[in-house]
Formats: sequence, structure tokens, C-alpha cells
Amino acid sequence: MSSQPEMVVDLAGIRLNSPVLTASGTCGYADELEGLLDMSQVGGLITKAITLLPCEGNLPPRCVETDAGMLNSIGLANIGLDRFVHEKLPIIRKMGIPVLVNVAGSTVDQYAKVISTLAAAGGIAGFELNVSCPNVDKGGISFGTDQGMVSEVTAAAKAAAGGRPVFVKLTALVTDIVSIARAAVEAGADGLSLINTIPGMAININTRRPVLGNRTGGLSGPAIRPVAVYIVDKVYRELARDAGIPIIGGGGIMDAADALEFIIAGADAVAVGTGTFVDPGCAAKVARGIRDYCVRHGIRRIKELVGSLC
Amino acid sequence: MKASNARDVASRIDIRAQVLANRPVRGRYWRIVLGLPRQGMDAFARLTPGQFILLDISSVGLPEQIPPELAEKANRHILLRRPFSPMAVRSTATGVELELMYKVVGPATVRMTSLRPGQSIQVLGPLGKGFSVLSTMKKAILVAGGIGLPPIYHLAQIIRSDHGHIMVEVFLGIRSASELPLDLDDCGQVDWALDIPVHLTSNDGGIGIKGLITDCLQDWLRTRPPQDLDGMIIFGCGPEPMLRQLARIASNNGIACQISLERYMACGTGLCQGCVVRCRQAGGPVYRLCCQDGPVFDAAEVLFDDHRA
Ligand SMILES: Cc1cc2nc3c(=O)[nH]c(=O)nc-3n(C[C@H](O)[C@H](O)[C@H](O)COP(=O)(O)OP(=O)(O)OC[C@H]3O[C@@H](n4cnc5c(N)ncnc54)[C@H](O)[C@@H]3O)c2cc1C
Ligand SMILES: Cc1cc2nc3c(=O)[nH]c(=O)nc-3n(C[C@H](O)[C@H](O)[C@H](O)COP(=O)(O)O)c2cc1C
Ligand code: FES
Repeated sequence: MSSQPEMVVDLAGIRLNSPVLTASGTCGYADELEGLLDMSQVGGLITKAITLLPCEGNLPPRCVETDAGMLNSIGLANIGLDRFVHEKLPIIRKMGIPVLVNVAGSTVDQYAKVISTLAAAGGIAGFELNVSCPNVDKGGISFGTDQGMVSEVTAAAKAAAGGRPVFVKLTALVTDIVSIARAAVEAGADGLSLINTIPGMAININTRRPVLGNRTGGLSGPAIRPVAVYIVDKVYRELARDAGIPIIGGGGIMDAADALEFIIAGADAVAVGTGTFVDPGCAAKVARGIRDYCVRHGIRRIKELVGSLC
Repeated sequence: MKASNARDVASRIDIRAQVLANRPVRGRYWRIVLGLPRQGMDAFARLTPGQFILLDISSVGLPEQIPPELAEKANRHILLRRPFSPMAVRSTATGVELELMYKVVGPATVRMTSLRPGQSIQVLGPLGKGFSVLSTMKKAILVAGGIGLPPIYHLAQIIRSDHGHIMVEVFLGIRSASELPLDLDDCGQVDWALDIPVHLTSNDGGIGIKGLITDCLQDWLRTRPPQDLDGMIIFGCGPEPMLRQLARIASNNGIACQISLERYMACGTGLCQGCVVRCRQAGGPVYRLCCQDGPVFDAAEVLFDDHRA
């Protein structure tokens, strides 16, 4: 099989069999997509955000379709650390693909507690710090828009992670993404995840009320892809390339062509989110499409494509 | 106690279906028949009434005829799949047929009217938890409002075929005669082809009794001798105000009640946590997922006030 391109990616020490991950909040906690998604094609999975205590999330309605995208205001609804450790970790350990846990909290301590508990429990490949959720009052995006907080939370996470890689997931809604990214890297981040949903809002003109129960939400899907590609390109050129920091790129990836834009812009791996809602097999389809592209273009290793923008 | 709807996640399948027929019924109501190949047979033949499927309409084009009031809306792009509860499931020699009834209300359902026999469409299912029919039930009161009819229609068939001892009575409420989603027989009566008594109301009185179907049900219940309520169960699907009233009637009369709820669904498979329903629980209210814990819920469990329409 020497003609097959090498798709393996080394993501800050995590070995992925394919550069395609499933994005946080769109693939459950573990094996929820079993039977619908060919896991052998997928490089890894990023869980729904886990918080120290269970979180019931925001008032409904929480999702609405918009042109070429959707708004969500889930508000980090999740089963909490305890149940995650007892009910989901045992499944994750048997899954045979790397799983990154997306972590959220309203204080730095909460992030650190979740991470140290999970690091001690074992079975997790790495962490993704959610400092970019637009749907909670504390933590989330209010951390991710503040260099000092990004730095503090990253350092605390790194100290708690027991040597496991920590990715920091950032929002595009900042004036200077590179300085925020730099704050994360200087505080010890092993990689960056770009981007989270973009704050948005929809109004029902008949009732003159916000459509979402939480008023505002986060926009995802094809509508945000050009913004996400722009951010990956900028952060790669101005920071990540020289710092040797890997990027997980994502936002609106529906097919291989979308994913390749991110890779060419500088992402080592990509995350499929909303695409999974449209087609539960989307991530596998994207992975196969990337392989076909490599074959067609005589690319022998996926690594050759990363940041290959002319 | 054996429920006939044990959820079986492993049996979900995402599969290409052939359009076998697609025709307007009346007003905005259409019926479409989808043929699923053999691989879909095991999964879909076991679809219980109230379970649903997700259709991918994203690559379906616009029809030539678009209702003028929907023209602007219809041009919107579609991204997410749309949920539908089938009105009938038939096993055939080559696979399984699903019949859906749909009401044209927006971009996806407008596009569905352009589907022609021979075209194909992606179907994910069966999803969610359907109605549970127990052998202890003696009389089933089936209540549908408007486009809530399909799973109720399916349930009527299943009770007739698999639970012969259960008596069935149907209550159907519609807005006006032009929105009757069923055919009429030669005598101008609603044709269920199932030999089931049907009580029909319309808001304007143009057909059936004038008024709300829940009032009609309440009047009918008043005429029943108390022992009739023993072993009785109400199954409902329709607009949420109707379901709320149904829950109240059931609770006031001490009758069990299962209702099928609707929520916006981004994934339909429990991934997004978007489709929550506020429910009573011992330790305090909790959110359950319409797509996974429902869409059919025990009416006594649902907290209606929490949901902003
Ligand atoms: C479990 C389930 C089973 C269903 N079964 C059927 C069925 O058998 N036949 C049928 O015609 N319809 C059914 N529906 C509703 C159907 O899914 C929507 O009418 C359809 O998605 C509308 O798509 P659209 O693009 O045409 O219109 P949209 O523009 O998406 O919607 C048109 C209008 O319908 C409302 N709406 C759309 N989707 C929902 C939803 N999920 N919950 C509440 N309001 C909504 C919107 O507020 C809007 O005003 C079901 C829904 C659920 C959740
Ligand atoms: C319903 C939903 C829930 C999400 N939940 C989380 C979450 O818990 N943590 C997080 O970091 N990102 C979350 N996201 C963001 C996605 O992981 C992803 O970054 C974003 O949606 C952009 O990618 P997409 O356009 O491919 O969906 C969520 C997105 C959606 C649509
Ligand atoms: S629709 Fe996504 S969880 Fe129910």
C-alpha cells in the first residue's frame, strides 16, 4: 500500500490516524455516534464541554437554523465531572481513538479541578480549554477575550494536566486574535483550537422577541467558515508556524474541500461540528475526501499540505 | 410490564430512500411514500408509532408552484435535517415503505413538494421513543390536532393489528374543512379505512362539530359511565396548547396520557442538547431531550409553562 498517502498526524504528541476530529458539543461524550460514523476514519473526538458540577443549560429554544448556519445557546448543558468519569470514561477507554475533553468553568480553579481529576483518572488523550463559549455569563468567552485570563487559565490547566497536551479554543470575536493566542502559547498551551461559534442573534419579527430563550447564541456552520479560515491563516503566519504550535481548525466544515482550506492555511487537524448534524457520517466522508485529494495531487504525507498556502 | 417500544439505538440507520409517490391531499397537506431498500428493512420495519425520522432536504430543489405567502421564506437555504413521524410503515417484498404526511410551512416542506417518483432522499431513523401500548390497556383515546395526525394515524393501525382487544376512539381537530388532512368517503365522512369511530371538530364549524377538539373530548368523557375510564388511556399529538389541555383533562379524570411533543431539532440524535423539554422529577424539574427521551412523554411529567412558544 505504498501508494496510499500517509494520513497520520502528530498533534502535540497525540497520534491521530487521520487529521479529522469531531468538534466539541456536536458528537456527545463518547460513542454516541456509533453505527452512524465510521470511527476508523476519524482521527479523534472532542467531547462536549465538561464542567465541575452538572449543568442544566439555558432556557429553550436553544437552537435555530439561520441562512447557511445555525445559532445555538445550549449553555454548556452537561452531566458534570463525576458522572462523566463514572459513566463515560470507561466507554472512552475502549473506543480505540484519542479523545480530547473540552473543559469549561466559571473560575480558573474549576478548570483546574476538572483537568486534574481527569488526568488522574486516565484514558484521556488531552484537553481543550473552552474559553470561548458565547452562551454563559462567567468563564467562556469572557475569559477568552482577556489576555490575562487566557494566560491564567492556560497556566493552571497546564499545571493540572499531568503532562497531557492542552489546547486552547479561542473565539474570533476579539480585536487582536494573535495577542490572545500568544498569551495562551506563552502560558504553556500545546496547541490552539480555532474557532468557536461566533456570537449571533435572531429575532422573531411577529412577536418581536428573540428566537432563542437566552436571547443570543453562537453561530456555526458554513456561514462562519471564511472567518475561521481567515483566523487560522493569520494565527499560523504570525505565531503558530514559528512557535511550532499545532492548530485544530474548524468552523463550517461540511466536506473535504472545506477541510483542505483549513489545512492549507495552517491547521494540522480539523474539527467537524455542525456538519455532523447534517450528516452523521460527515467526519468520515471528509477524511476519505482528504485522502482522495492527496492521491490526486501526488501528496505523500498530509503534513506536506499544512500551511502550504502559496 | 412489556412496552412495545424499547429504544434500540443500534438499529438507527442513515440510508437512501426512493420516492415512490408524492401527492397533495388537501390545502397545505401532502403525502409522500418512501421506499427503503433491504438494509433498511430491519430498522424501519420496527419503527413504533411516535418515533420519527430525519430527512435531508438540503439538495432538493424548489418546485415550480410555491404558495405565494411562502415565496420569500422558501428561497432560504436549508442546512439541518427535518423531523417527521411516519403515518404508516409497510413491509414489502423488496424492503420497507414509509408513508409520511406533511404540511407545507417553510423552505424544507415547500421543497419536498418537488420530489417525484424515482428521485431519492437520505433518511435517518428510526429515532426517539414512541407511544407505548401495554396489554393492560382497554380503551385508547387517540387525539390529534392538525398535522399532529400522522403518528396518531400510525398508532391507530398498530392497535388495530397488534392489540385487537383494545377499543379505539379517535378525536381529530382541524382549523377548517380545507385543512382536513384525510380523504372523505362516499358519505362525506372521514375515511380511516380502519372502522374506527372518528369525532371531528373544526374551528370554523365548516366540517364536523364547531369548536376545539379538547372541548369535544371533555363533553364526550362526561357522558361515559365511571367504569368506562378504567383501563382507558389518551394518546395525543398536535399543537402544544392542545396537548397542555389534554394533559389537564387526563389528570382531572385520572386517565393515563401519553403525548408527542415537537421541538426544533438540530441533530435529532441526542448530540446537541438543543431540543429540551422541562419535566417534573422528584428532586426538582429537569430538562429531558425531545429527540431521545421523547418525542413521546407521559403527560403528567411535562411542565408546559417553561416553554416559550
Ligand atoms: C418529532 C417530530 C415529528 C414531526 N412530524 C411531522 C409530520 O409527520 N408531518 C409534518 O408536516 N411535520 C412534522 N413535524 C414538524 C416538521 O418537522 C416541521 O414542520 C418542518 O421541519 C418544517 O420545516 P420547513 O423548513 O418547511 O419550515 P421552517 O421554516 O423550518 O418552519 C416553519 C414553521 O414551523 C416552525 N417549526 C419548524 N420546525 C419546528 C419544530 N421542530 N418544532 C416546532 N416548530 C417548528 C417554525 O417556527 C416556523 O414557524 C415534526 C416535528 C417533530 C419534532
Ligand atoms: C450545538 C453546539 C454545541 C456546542 N458545544 C460546544 C462546547 O460544549 N464546547 C466548545 O468548545 N464548543 C462547542 N461548540 C462549538 C463547536 O465545537 C465548533 O467550534 C463550532 O460549532 C464551529 O464549528 P462548526 O461550524 O463546524 O459547527 C458547540 C457547537 C454547537 C453547534
Ligand atoms: S435535537 Fe439534538 S439533542 Fe435533541
